[in-house]
Formats: sequence, structure tokens, C-alpha cells
Amino acid sequence: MVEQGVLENPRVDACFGLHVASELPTGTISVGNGPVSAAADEFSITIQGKGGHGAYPHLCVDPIVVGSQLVLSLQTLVSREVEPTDKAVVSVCAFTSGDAFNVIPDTAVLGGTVRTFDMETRDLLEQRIRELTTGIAGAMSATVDITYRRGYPPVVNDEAMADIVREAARQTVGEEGLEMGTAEMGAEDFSYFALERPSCFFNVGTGNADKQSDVSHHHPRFNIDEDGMAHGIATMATALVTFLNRE
Amino acid sequence: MVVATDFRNDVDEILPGVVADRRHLHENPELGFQEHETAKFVTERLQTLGIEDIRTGINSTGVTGLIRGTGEGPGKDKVVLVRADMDALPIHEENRVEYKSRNDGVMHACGHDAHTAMLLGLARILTDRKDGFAGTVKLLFQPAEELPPGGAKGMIEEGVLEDPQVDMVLGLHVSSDTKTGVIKVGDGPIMAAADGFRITVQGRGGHGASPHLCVDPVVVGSQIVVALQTLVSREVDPVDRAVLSTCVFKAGEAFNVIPDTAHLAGTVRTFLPETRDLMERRITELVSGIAASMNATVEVDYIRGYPATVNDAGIAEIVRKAARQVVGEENVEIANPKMGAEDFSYFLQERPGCFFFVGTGNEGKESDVSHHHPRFDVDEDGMAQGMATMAASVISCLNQG
Repeated sequence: MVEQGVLENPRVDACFGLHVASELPTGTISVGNGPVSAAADEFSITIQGKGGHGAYPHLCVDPIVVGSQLVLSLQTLVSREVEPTDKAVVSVCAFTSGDAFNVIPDTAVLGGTVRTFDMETRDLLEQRIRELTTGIAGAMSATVDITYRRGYPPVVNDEAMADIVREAARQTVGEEGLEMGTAEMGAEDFSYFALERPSCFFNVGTGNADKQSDVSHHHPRFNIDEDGMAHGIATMATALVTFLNRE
Repeated sequence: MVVATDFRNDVDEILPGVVADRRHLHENPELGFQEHETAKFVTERLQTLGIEDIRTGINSTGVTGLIRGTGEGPGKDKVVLVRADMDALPIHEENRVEYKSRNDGVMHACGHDAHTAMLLGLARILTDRKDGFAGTVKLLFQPAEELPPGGAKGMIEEGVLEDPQVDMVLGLHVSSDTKTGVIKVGDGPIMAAADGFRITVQGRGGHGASPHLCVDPVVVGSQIVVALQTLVSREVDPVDRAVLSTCVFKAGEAFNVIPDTAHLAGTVRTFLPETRDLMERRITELVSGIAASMNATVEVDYIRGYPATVNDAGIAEIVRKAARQVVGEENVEIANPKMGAEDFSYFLQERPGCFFFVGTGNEGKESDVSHHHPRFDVDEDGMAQGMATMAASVISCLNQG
């Protein structure tokens, strides 16, 4: 939609978005500064070794040992190369190789996810994952094929826009209903709007145990306390008017 | 008294018949513990030859019979057992020969058809020469060498080494990586014990972006794979030989979900019983320790396969001498230890003996293809050397005194 020009004609000056949140009680609004959701990227690595008889390893290139070295090395990226005050995750979630217990396989396939909040960290991790993978495989006489798929960028709230929303929230649910938003590891494609314009994305509480609407998102029993929708509409309307009057 | 060199002519005479037998068996391969027609064929042939005390149906399809020498000699009270395996493999044959397998998906891809045919040939030769030696030769045809737990163990449990009490055991294997005309005989451990292991790492799964709420079994499994590689490199005497291969690593499906478990499996090859015990113990200790240190739990299964094949040095020398008489000094080689496994080892655990290799590799006849390959074949000329060497070895063992 951004590519199809929705931010032009007329030119959009700011973007606002909200998400209902079952982990927040109804009557709560959560607004964060800076990165509030992570970029979620994924990778698939195929290690090409040379299979053969399990009793003749010297005639083979063992992709399971290569893959294991790689899994362990990848764990040093967050622990050693990402600034400790930054936030990032590298998880290898799938490792598939071999069938027969006495046959060294030809290949090992690894799959995983990378979460970052900072664009530079995101680029760093992609580059380092590629370098580590190629380097380790090469050192152990294997070759590799890497597929790296970038997901949504992080949502980064503009502090001024966030302050506007916070003030609007105070008027809707009171100081006691306002929470400082924190960075969450989930991903959100509102981020594409936030990349283009000063923006704020905030969470509206719809969690209510009595109405069984405090179940996790993506769960088959997820539901919404519809009273929360009123808080959302009111906060959003107030924020929009505040922004327009400010200009 | 019969001496070794007598057999070369005998063998040349009967070779066409042995080749015919081998081709018949090659056309009709049967899998382990299903060798019904093969056993029937063997039994009928033994009966025709007048073999004594034929027993059938041992450990499903095993067959034994006796040749009692009627001559004079120091071997009067001795019993030498000679063994051949009868089973084929679940492989689709790709050879374009007239004796190709007629049993689709089953093939004699390891030479057991040749072993059975050769033992029948040996039976004929020794029967013809019965009056030239004293002592008893026990012929043993076993099922399921390729299929763990193997056919040998069960036959031994059913008493084939008793009644009469067997003193020595001999066996041979055709070998496509050895040239026709060469016989290889090794001392001590010549083939490895082959064990298997299965490891299940139990972590705690969850969202790939919340590793701190999980116990990641992929990382634990990877630590285990790498640590296991130090057992051979750091804990086995460098002069000894062992192999540890992790051949299966399966964990997870979705790229963004840390899985609950990781499954690993692999194989271990050792020659010495102490090393075998060491590997089993250390694998269990390493795996348990690493898992615990990373808050995972683990299940380890160590599955013992066939023991190492260990030749008696004295009997190996007897076979070497016999082989020299058959193929000449220059064609008798020391067998290098092989990492493959053999269930003839069970016989060697009970009685001293020798397992030797008969060259059947011939590039011109396309019989130098690996065992277990769909295009494996045997240079049938090699069977002559095998039979002659075995016959001479049997007689020498009996005459040993």
C-alpha cells in the first residue's frame, strides 16, 4: 500500500496505529518510545557434505558435525558481537540430517529466526551469519547454501507522536491506566508506515478474565473484551485531534 | 594322508558345478530367516552326497551335516566346523547377467551365494577324499548374517558347537576389493564390533524469540555432537582404532519455534572389548553430563551389535600356509582390519578359528564393485582358490595333532 502511494495525495504527515492486547487488562493503554516491536528475519542453511558409510568417516565430509559447530558458533553472535544494551535473538529452531544410524548423510538443513530492534544490528547479524556459516563450512571442507529472508522491520515510535498518544490516553483511561510500552519480540508490518513518517503504534487492553478474553493472541480461544474498543477509539480520536491542532 | 596341494585338481574338476550352484542361488535370493528354498537346496545336495547326521531347521533355516574321515591321522577325535551364510539383501539388482535375481527387490549383493556354493563344493571334495583323513568336518549353513541379531548366535544357542564338540571354526568371505587369486588372512581382530546409539534430548520448546523461557535442545544436541568427537580423538589409545559417527540429527520443524526435543543416532566401531566398554560408558556419561549442565534431560540407548571378529593367530598361520600352497607366497597377504562387522564373530568367541578373505575382484569381469552395491558381482574363478584354501586348511587343522 505504501508502494501504491497511500502516503501521498494528500501527503501524509504522521501515522498512528493500535493493536488490541489480551495480555493487558481492559482499561489499560500501553505506549512505548523508539523500537516497540522487533524485525523478524529467517534463515535456511543447507550444508553440503559428502555422505558414506558410518564406519569410514575419513572418506566423508560429515555435515552433522559441521552443522553442530555452526549452531554453537551462532550463539556467540548475540553474546559477543551485539552491544549488551541492545536486544537481539538468534535461534536455530530446526536441524534435519540423516536417516540410517550407520550412514553419514550428504546434507544437513538448519532453519532459524533472527529478531532485532536496531537496523544496524539487523544488518550486522545477517552479514555475520553469512560469514560464520561460509567460514565454518569451508574450514571443514563442506559447502553451504544460505537463504536469508527479511521479515517486517521493527516498529519505531517517534517520541513526539508517542507523547501525544500518551496525553490522549491519560484523558481516556486516566494516569493509572497508562503504561510505558516495552519492546516486544513480535513483528508488525505497521513498521513500513513508521519507516516513512513519524508514527506511533500503541496497545489497547482487552484482557478480561471474567469475559475469558485474557487468552494469548494466535490461540484458538482468543477473544476481545469489546469495552476495550471504546478506550481505543477515544484515545485515537483524541490523539488525532491533538496532532492536527498542534500543526 | 591328504595334503593341501591335492585339492587344486579336485577343485578345477568340480568348479563348473559349483558355478552352476552359485548362479542358481544368485537367481533365487532370500532374505534373512527366510532362506527356505536355499536351505532345501542345500539339504538335498548334502543328502545326495551322503553327508552324515544332517540337521535342518536350526534357528529357522540353518542346516548342519558331518563328514567323518575314515582314514588314519592325528585328527581322529577332532571336529572342525566350516561355516557359510545363505542370506541375501533387500537390494534391487542392476546387473545385466543371465543369472540375475528373479526375486524383485532382493539380491545376493554380498557374495553369500558364493559362500554357500563353495561350502557345497568343499563337502563334495572332502567326501571324495574321506579315506585320506581322520577326524570330523562339520558343515554349517546359517541364516541371516546381514540381519541383526544375526543367525549365528541362535544356532550356537541351539547347540551346534556340541554333539559332537567342535574344536575349531573356519569361515571365509569373498572380497570384491581384493584381486582374484589373492587370499588375505589376518591375526587377532580383523573386523570391528558394530554398535548403535540413540539419544533423545528433552528440552523445553517455545517461541523462537523467547529463548530465555525455553531449554533449546538444538544447542544441547550440537554440544553433544561436537563433544562426542573427542572420544576417539582424545580418549582412545591412538594405536587402537575406533569410530564414532553421529549419523542422524532431527529436531524441530518451524523456523521460529524452538522444539521440545532433538533426536540423535549413530554408530560405534571398536576392535577391543575394553574400548567397546569404554565407548559405551563414556558416551552415556558425556551425553548425560552435557544435557544436565544445560538444563535438559536425556535418554541414551546403546545397542550392541556383532562383536569384533578375532582370529586365533595359530589357526590363521595354518590358513596362511594352506593359502600359500594354493595361490603361491606372493598372493597371500595380511588382511588389514576392516570396520565392517560379521556375525561369524560369535563362533570365534566360543572356539578358536580363522575368518579369511578370498579375492573375487576383477575389473575385466566388472566384479570389483563394492559389496552391497546393486551391481556387485563375483569373479567365479576366485571360488576355486577359496575352496582349495579352505579344504587344505581343514585338513591341516585336523592333522595338527
